[in-house]
Amino acid sequence: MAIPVFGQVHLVSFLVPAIAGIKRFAVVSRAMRVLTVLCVLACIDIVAQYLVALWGMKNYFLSDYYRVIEVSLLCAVFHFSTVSKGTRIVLRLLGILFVVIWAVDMISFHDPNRINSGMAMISRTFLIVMALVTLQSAIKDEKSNLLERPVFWVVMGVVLYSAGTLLVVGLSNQLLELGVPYFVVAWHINWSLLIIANLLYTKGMLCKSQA
Amino acid sequence: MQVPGIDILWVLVAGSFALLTFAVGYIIMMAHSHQRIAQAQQAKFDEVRKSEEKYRSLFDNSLAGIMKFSVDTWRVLDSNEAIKTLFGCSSQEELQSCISNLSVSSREFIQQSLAKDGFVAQYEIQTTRRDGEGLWILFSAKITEDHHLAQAVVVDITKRKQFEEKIREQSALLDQTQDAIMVVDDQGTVTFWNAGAELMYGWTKDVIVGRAIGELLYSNSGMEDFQAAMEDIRQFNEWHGEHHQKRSDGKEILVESHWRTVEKASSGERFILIVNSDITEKKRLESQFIRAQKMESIALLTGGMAHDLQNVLAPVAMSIPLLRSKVSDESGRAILKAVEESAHSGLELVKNILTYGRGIAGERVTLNLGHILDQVLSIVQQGLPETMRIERKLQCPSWSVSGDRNQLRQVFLNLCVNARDAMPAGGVLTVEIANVESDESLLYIAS
Repeated sequence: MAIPVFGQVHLVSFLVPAIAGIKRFAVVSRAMRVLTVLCVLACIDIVAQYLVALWGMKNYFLSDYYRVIEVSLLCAVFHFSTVSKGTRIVLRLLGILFVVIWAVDMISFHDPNRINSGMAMISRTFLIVMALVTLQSAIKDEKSNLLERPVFWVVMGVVLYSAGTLLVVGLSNQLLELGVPYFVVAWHINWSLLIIANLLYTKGMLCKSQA
Repeated sequence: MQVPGIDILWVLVAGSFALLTFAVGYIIMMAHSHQRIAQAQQAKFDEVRKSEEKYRSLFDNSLAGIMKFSVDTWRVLDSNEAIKTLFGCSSQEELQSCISNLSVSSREFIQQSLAKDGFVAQYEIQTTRRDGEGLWILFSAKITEDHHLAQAVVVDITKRKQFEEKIREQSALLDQTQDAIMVVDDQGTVTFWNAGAELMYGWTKDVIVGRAIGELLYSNSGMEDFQAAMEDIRQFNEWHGEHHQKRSDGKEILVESHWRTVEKASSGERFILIVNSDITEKKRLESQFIRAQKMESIALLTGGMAHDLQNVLAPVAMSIPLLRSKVSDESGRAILKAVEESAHSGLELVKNILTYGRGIAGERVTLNLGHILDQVLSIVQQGLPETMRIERKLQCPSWSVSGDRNQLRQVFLNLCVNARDAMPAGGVLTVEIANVESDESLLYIAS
């Protein structure tokens, strides 16, 4: 099946923050460097998924492994973006908790032939909580304009993507059972939000203030 | 018939939209809230910045020297231009050198005060400028929130100290003078009293300051003079004249007094500056001098008269020997003898008067006091009133004395005249010669 145009745009959109991050790697903060690494890994993941799909294999396992990397690295991004010790502890605990849940899921409940929608919802929920905790801390601690800080745009991207795709990923198996066309239509939500999230990450990397 | 996949898609889209709306709304709300907080913080920051600029301007433009320093090491951390100018420095390093040159005792005192009270108020320090010129500074400091640092305000008081020194010197000079210098207010209450006044009146400064000058220095009879002088000073701002005043021991003195109104520049209050000179002794000497002048005039007059009298008596005395040869009877010769003796006696008296009037120093010879007194009393006898008589006790053989005949005669004559003056109603003037053994004290008085 050919990839829809929106899907292709979504694929290209992963390159934008990765390139921006690599270009500004020397001047951006440690958090943004971690985000750059994540964006590069996302590019690799998406290419790998595409290649695996082209070979006629199921690529769900790539999403499963990428999920823990995504949550861990975004947890690190939020961790380095905040100065509050309490928030950092909360973020570390959430990150560890997610890894434990993921490991338990992978060991006990993992089915490589199905989309792991439960874990996907859990990961998005964790990301939303981490993002909001970071935002709350940023509002309390920082004195400079929020819109000029990279963490705001990263939080914005994470929350939009995670909240917007929560239901889609949750019902992805049901949609596949109904038929691929339904899945593709619903997956447009996922692609559009990923494009927005990638643009927001890029905005974060281009911010002048990297505090 | 409705396809179930379409329903799921609608639910998915609606649900996702709802979640997105909620997430975006939440973030926008948070961002807006932060914006408000940031604006408030910015406003506060601007206010603090303006305030800092204002105080920085005050700090930089202050005429007083201001600096921030470490209490333990005296290291200057911040300073304004005024303090550098005050010490004659052009850089922070030079200022540090000048501050380090403050005396050890001063620095220890400041450190102890800052540690104990947290501040030092108006502490005067003598030090030097960068070029070595003497400098007096008024040092005030307060500890900051960080207890190792303090902020100090330094003011140059060199001119004030020089002025104070001058005032002290002048004040010392006022105490050196023999004149009594005092300052009283317009009610006559003493506010200043110098050492000369203490010597002149016997009242110490502690006793007299704050008391009324009229009651202390003037007797009842002198109060009118005092009141008149006060009236004059109020009217003409100046007065001078002589006043009879009294000392603390009650003894009366005569003073030459100069009064002048002085107005205090700061308050416009009026005071009276009084300078008194004790002229009691001067007046007594003046009186003696006038009397001496009178005596001299009388002596000259008497000398002239004596000379004339000598001219009158000389022919009488010279004609007696001529007449004696022509007078044969005894009674006539006796009369001639009496006349001759009287004439010689008169001539001798005239000679004495002339000798005394000319001030010729007599010769020191051995004398018989009884004989001299006899001669003096015969002269005195003629000038006494009828109510007075002389009782002579000159029979005792007196020892001889060594002296000037004329001067001794004068002494006895004066004693007799004084005795006569002391008895205006008459009486007996007893003149006695006696030999007395004198002790050392009598000899001392006599010498």
